[in-house]
Amino acid sequence: MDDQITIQSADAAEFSLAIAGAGSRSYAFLLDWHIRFVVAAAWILLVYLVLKFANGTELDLFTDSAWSSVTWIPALLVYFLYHPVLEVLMHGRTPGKRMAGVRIVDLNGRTPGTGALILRNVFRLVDSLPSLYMVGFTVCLFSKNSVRIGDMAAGTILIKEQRATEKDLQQVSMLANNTEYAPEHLELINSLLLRWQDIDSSKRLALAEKIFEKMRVALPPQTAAHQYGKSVYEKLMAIQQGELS
Amino acid sequence: MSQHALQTWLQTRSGHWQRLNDLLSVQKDKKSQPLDEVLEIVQESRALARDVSLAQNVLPNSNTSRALEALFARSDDVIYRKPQAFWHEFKKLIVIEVPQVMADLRNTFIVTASLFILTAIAGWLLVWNYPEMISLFASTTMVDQVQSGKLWTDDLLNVTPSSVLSLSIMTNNVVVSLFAFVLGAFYGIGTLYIIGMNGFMLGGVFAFTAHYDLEGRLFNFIIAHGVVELTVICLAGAAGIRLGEALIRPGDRSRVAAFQHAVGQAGKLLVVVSIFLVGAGLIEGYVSPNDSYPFASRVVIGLGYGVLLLTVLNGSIWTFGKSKQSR
Repeated sequence: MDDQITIQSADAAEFSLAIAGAGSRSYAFLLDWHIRFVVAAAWILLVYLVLKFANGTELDLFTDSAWSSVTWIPALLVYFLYHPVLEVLMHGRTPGKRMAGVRIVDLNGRTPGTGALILRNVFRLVDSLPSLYMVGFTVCLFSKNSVRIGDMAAGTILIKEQRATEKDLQQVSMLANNTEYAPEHLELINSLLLRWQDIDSSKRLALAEKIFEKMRVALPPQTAAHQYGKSVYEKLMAIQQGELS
Repeated sequence: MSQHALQTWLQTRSGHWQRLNDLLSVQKDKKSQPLDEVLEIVQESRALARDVSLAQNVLPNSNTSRALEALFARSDDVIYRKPQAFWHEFKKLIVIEVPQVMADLRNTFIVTASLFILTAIAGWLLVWNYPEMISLFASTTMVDQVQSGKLWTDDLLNVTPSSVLSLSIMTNNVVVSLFAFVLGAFYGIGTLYIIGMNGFMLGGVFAFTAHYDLEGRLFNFIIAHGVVELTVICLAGAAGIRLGEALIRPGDRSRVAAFQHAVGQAGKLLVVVSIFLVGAGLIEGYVSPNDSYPFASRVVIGLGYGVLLLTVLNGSIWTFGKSKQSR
């Protein structure tokens, strides 16, 4: 179970957000690092190839001052401004964070302001000390809400992105329209079906039998192990979709 | 809640949740969204707040409860997201907020600038009495050049064009200033180190050049950009010391809250001073190494730019015309 932060909204509703730990944070950072490195390197290579093949000039991109600024300045800007610029434009996300399923929010669970996003990036200077983000990683391991110094300074948290998906809301609709069974029983079936593939087959069957027992629904006939598992799954699906009465 | 009541509630409300989800999904193009849809989002979100509380009571730790919480978090974020009014925010920052921060930071700035001056004097005294100590903060090439009667800034433009020189200086100055600020997170000690070392180096280098009668030329090089550059480093240092102070004695706030408040206040100042560092970088790239600028013009540029910085920071530049009119 992830660590949670509970937020009280202005409308007096409470909601919980799952905090992204050091693992998710590092994964997102590594993805972003590869993206910005590849984009910056691609720009340098592009300039080099254009100059070499279009103009027929072979330049030393390290020492030729005029061309080195055309080559290196945009590449360095991409590398160093990647995080602050994209976090502002993508409302607390970057491509790497999106892929890792995490997002930056403020202490109210909302998209942070531009100032906070810039400040959390300025503090990378401290978090990256002495190298390889050792300070930031260590602070993240031991701090409340698993934040680095930059997040503490800017009042931000990295959370696991939780969206009410179409599927979630469809399940709620099914729950509403299924008048045959108690919603709390249907909730149990929903939870089990959501995790069906992740649970060991004998354990999931045992859980399903317990739910059937609680709901006073007859078990499917005992057949070969594989066939029985399939029958149980189909029966759960039928109950969930209101097709079994 | 009875099963029937729960069922009725779910049946009545599930359509509204689906509708809110659809409205939020098309909410990307905010400016062209009809007003009635925007109002509908607000109303549905408020109703959802009640549903979330109810779901947490009657269906705790359920998928329904989690799905409603996630939907509510999303609508809350959309409704309360700050408008992106960049120029309005920037104007407010520079005209109102920065002068307030500067007024609050004045005493800390004086202390930081005093520390810088004292360490510069210490650096001067050390190198004046023991010239070999210059090797602590100057490269062998620099030392050799000064000993042969030349400054490392001579012929700078023959080696590097002004544009590249400006950019590298600008970057360096911004990084030094940001370091002076963020290292305040180590209870202010990091900031004291950066300010102390910079003062020490400046004093030491001047003392060393003075041994070879080059201090006048060094001053001639520095004066146009140095006033703003050194002031900004001291301002960033003052902001960093404030971070340390917030951690050491947070007052009524919690330590983290005091730290966040100090960062938020000082951050505003840093935005403005960073812009001035861009100007200082341009002066250092185009004016300082160019011998065609006489000493007097360098002094005018340096002091003028310094006065502009201070009048912007204390806000008097915005009230100058108004106070004159009101008289």
